[in-house]
Amino acid sequence: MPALPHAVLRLASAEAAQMIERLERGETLDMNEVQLLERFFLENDEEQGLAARYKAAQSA
Amino acid sequence: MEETRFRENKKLDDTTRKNGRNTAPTELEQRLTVSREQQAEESSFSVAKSYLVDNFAKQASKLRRVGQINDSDEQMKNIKPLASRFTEIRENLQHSLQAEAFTELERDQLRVLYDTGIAFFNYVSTEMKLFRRFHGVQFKAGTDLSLVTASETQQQLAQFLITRAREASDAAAKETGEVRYLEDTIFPLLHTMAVQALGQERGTHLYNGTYTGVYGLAAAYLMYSDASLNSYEKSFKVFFPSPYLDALEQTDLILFDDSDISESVREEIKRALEQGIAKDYDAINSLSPEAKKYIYKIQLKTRYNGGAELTEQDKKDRERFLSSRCHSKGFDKGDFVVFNYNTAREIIAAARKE
Repeated sequence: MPALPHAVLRLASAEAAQMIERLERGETLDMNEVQLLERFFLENDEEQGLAARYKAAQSA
Repeated sequence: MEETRFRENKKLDDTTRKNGRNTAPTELEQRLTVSREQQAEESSFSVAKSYLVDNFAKQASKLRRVGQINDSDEQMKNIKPLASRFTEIRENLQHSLQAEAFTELERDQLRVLYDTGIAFFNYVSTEMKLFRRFHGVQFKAGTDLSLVTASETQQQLAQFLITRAREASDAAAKETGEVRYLEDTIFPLLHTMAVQALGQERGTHLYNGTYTGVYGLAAAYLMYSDASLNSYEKSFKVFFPSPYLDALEQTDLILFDDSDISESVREEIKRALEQGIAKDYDAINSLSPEAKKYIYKIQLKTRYNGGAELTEQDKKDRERFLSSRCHSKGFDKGDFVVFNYNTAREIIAAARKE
């Protein structure tokens, strides 16, 4: 297994969900994580639920 | 050949219902409408491309303003809207990609433009040390994710040069017979972003650093692919390693010499390369001793000015790379190459003439 977190530069749904949960808890993502999430949503149009949570957490 | 344009109406209906945006047109939709009303010659692709280019330049300009704020709390307040704005731009793009008639190639290229833009923004902001101030983030030497994303961006850009990817159709360009390439849009955008974010002098320097490295990477790829251009006189199969391998071990290229090899070793290497590029960055280092005989690791350094001779520092770097990244990991073969930017450009230009 890769020793680093996010060793795959394309996130799986579960990894994206974990990042969004952190954001919802009030933690802040760094720009690298924002980039990974933006790419995830760009390539996964069907993840509308996660996208809505991400947007809501961003504007909270 | 007639281009296939199609709409994804069902998908659009689903999206608009969920997003509840049946009425208000997005910024990009407004631009497209204005362009149509004015009967401009611009294609939808061209309008969407301009939308992304303009907005990334604005984002970079806002980054400079955030960098000028001295109070860290105030800076935090201003950083967050920047990230949110990317989401808005992406949503507007996605909405139009579903609502408008685009070819698949146009859709892919607009996504690439967005993806490359945000990656470069990330790189610039890291250079400005802005996002290190976010709480909950630990930066440790050697595991800095920004190095990985910078490496990936560099690989993506080098691929544009190697493949000479043509930009998707543009009605106006078609009439004049003009051929545009993706690099013709992306490199000027990155230059603008660097200048906007950091100011003319530093911005240009930062951009040149990236740009030079990308040209070196592309030239090395071509050089090792062609036996007549490299000192080994071999036509290697050349691979970009996982960006993690580049960021952590400074390995820019992996060469595979498959000219005289057993089928089982070929399969082992093929699996490791697939694994190493997509998932497990350490897969290459975990090859069997027999398989490692066919792999060469390459570290590159590209200079904008100056020659390709090794300086004293280069010699130290070369020794370190060969001992700690190659020999200690069981690879007998490796190289540390210094490129001059102009030489790199000449190699690329020559390859394009063929």
